[in-house]
Amino acid sequence: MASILGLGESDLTTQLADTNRDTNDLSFLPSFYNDKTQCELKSQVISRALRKKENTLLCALGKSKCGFVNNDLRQKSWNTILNNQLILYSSPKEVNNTPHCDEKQIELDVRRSFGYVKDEVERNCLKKALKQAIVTFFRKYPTLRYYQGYHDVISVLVVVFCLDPKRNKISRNISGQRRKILYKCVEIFSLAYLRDFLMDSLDFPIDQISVIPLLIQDKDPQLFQRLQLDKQKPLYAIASVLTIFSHDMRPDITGANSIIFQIFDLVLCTHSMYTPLVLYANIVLALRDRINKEYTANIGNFDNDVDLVHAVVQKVLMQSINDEAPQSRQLWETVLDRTRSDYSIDPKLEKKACKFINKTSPLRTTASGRPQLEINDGYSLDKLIKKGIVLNNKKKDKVPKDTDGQDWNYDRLIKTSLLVGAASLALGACHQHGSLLPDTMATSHLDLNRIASSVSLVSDSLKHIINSS
Amino acid sequence: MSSRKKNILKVIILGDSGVGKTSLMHRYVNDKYSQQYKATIGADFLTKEVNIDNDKVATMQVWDTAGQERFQSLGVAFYRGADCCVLVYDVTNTKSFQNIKSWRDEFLVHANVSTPETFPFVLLGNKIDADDSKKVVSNKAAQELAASLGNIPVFFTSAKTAINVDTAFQEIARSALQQNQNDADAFEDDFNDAINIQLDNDTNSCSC
Repeated sequence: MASILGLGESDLTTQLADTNRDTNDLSFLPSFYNDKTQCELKSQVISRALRKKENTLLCALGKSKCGFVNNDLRQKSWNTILNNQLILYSSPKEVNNTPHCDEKQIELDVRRSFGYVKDEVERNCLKKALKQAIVTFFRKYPTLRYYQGYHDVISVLVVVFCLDPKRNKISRNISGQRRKILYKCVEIFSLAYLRDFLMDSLDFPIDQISVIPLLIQDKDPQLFQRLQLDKQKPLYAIASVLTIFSHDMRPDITGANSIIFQIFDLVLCTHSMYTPLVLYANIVLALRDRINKEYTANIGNFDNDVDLVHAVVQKVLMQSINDEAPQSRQLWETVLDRTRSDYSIDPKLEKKACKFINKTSPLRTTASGRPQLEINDGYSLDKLIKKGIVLNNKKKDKVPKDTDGQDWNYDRLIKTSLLVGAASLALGACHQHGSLLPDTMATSHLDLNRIASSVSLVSDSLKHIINSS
Repeated sequence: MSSRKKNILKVIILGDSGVGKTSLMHRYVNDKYSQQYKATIGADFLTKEVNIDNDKVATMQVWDTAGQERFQSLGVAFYRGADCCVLVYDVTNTKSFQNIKSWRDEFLVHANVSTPETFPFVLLGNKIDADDSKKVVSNKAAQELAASLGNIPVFFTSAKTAINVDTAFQEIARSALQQNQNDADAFEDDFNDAINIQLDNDTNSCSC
C-alpha cells in the first residue's frame, strides 16, 4: 500500500526491520514529517507486523519512539508479545473459587483506584474489571501474595484492554472474549515479570532495586559518592519499581499515548525487568542537578542519611512527574528515549548483580532480556532448584541475622517460586498431548520437540519440589 | 548523626492499611481531603511549620508509612530518630484497633529509642464522621487501651471533616518537642561528660 506521503508501508517495514538500525531512529523518514505523521505511519507498520505475525519487528516497533502509538494497537501488541513470551494454557477446570488470603487488601486498594476518572459509570466499570482480574489471578495461584502496588500495575493493563477503539473511550461493557484476553495477559505478565514482587518477602524486590545504585555508580560515580548510595538500601525506588512507575503516573483514559503506556511497551519489548531499573537510574541522572541542590539545602534537616536521600530523591522525582509544564514531559520523553537507545546491562554490571540476585528471579530467567522462555533453551530446572538453594543458603550464612527485623526465609520462597514456574511450564507441556492454540503454532521460534522433551524434566522437578516441601 | 537536626520534629504514623494515615497527614499539613489517595508504598513524607503553645517554632516532618503487613519490614528503616509515634485505627474496623498494640511493640523493637518507657505515642481513632451504626470500637475501649499503653493521649478524629485533627497534631507536636529536647539534653550531658573526662585526664597528666 502506497501512502499519500510517498513512502509505502512495506518500505517502512524494510527500514524498520533492518536489525542494524537503531530502533529509536526514525530519521530515515523525510524530515518534514511531523510527530503526528510519523505516528500515523508507524501505526500502519504495527498493524502490518501484527497481521503478518512478525514478532521481532513488532518488538522493535514497541521499543522505538512513541511505543505502540495508541491503545487499540497496544492491546493487540501486548497480547501477541506476552503470549509469545510464556506459553500458558488455561482450561475451565483451573477455575478456583476459594478466596485468596489477600482479598480484603485487594478490595481495599481497588476501592481507592481510578479516583481520577470523573465519569462514575466508567470508574465503576474499571474498578470491577480490575478487581476481577486481580482476584482471578490470585485464586489461580494461591501461593503467591498480593502487594500494594500490584493493583497499580494491573490498572495500566485494565485501561489498555478496556478501551473501546471505536469510541476511543473506556468500554462500559467489556465482552467475555476481551476479559479472557486481559486475564491471560495479567497472568503471563505477573508470572514472567512480577514474580519476585509476589513472593512472601520483600527481600526479592529489595535485591532487584539494589541494581539501581550500581547503574548510577557506573554512569556518575560523583553523584553516587555524594549521596553515599553504597551505605543504604535504595528504598526510595521501591514504589516506582514495584509498580513500574504506575504508582506515580496514572494511566490516561482519554486514549492519549501517555508516558506510562510507553514505559510498559518498552519493558515488554525488551523482555526485561532490568528496564525499569535502567529507566529509574536514568531519571535520577537526568535530575542530578536538582537532587544535588536539594541534598545540600536539606543536609541539616533530617535525622539520618536514609531519611535525607529518600526524601530528596522522592521529592525531586515526584516534582518532575506532577509538574504539568511542557519541560517536565519533555524530560521524561528524553529519558525514555535514552533508555530505548541503551537499555542493555553492561556484562560486568550484570555479573555484579548476579552475585546478589536470586537465581530464580525474573531478572535471571523469564524477564532477563532474552526474548524466549527458558523452556526453549533447555535449561535444567532441576539444576536451577539445587543451585538456587545452595546459593541462598550461602547468602543466609553470610548475612547477619535480622539486620532490620527481616525474615530471610529464602528456602520456602524458592520452592514457591519454582513451584509456580514449574506448574506453568507443566501446564504448557502437558497440553502437548492435546491440541495447541493457534497463536502458539504461529510463533516461529517455538521448538515443539524441545517442549516435548521438557515434559519429563518438569514432572521430575515437580516431584522434587513436592518431596522437599 | 541524630544530633544534627535542629528544630526538626520527626513524627511517624503507623496503623493498618486503609485507616486513614495519608488522609490525616494531608488534612493536617494541607488542610485538604480527597477520596483519591492511593495506597502508600514504602514511605512518604510531608513537612509543616508548627508553632507550639505560641512559644516555640519548629518544622514537623510527618512520615507516612505503608499499612500492608508485608511492607512493615521496610517501614522500620524510617523509625530511627522519631520524636513521636502516632498510632491510628479506624473506629469502624475492630481488627485495626486490635493491631494497635503490635504496631507499638514493633516500633519500640526497631526504633532504638533511648527510653522506651517514656517515648511519646499518641493514639488516634479515625473516621468518627461515619454513621454510628458502623462504629464498632467504643471510646471507652480506646481510653482503656491508651491507659494500658502508659496513659498515652487519645483523640477521636475525622480526616474527612477535619474533626480534632489540629488538636491532635498540636499534642503530637508538643510531645515530639519534649522528646526532642530530652534527647538533646541527654546528648549534651554525654558531650559534657566526655569533655569532663578529657579535662580530668589533662589535669592528671599535668600533675605527673
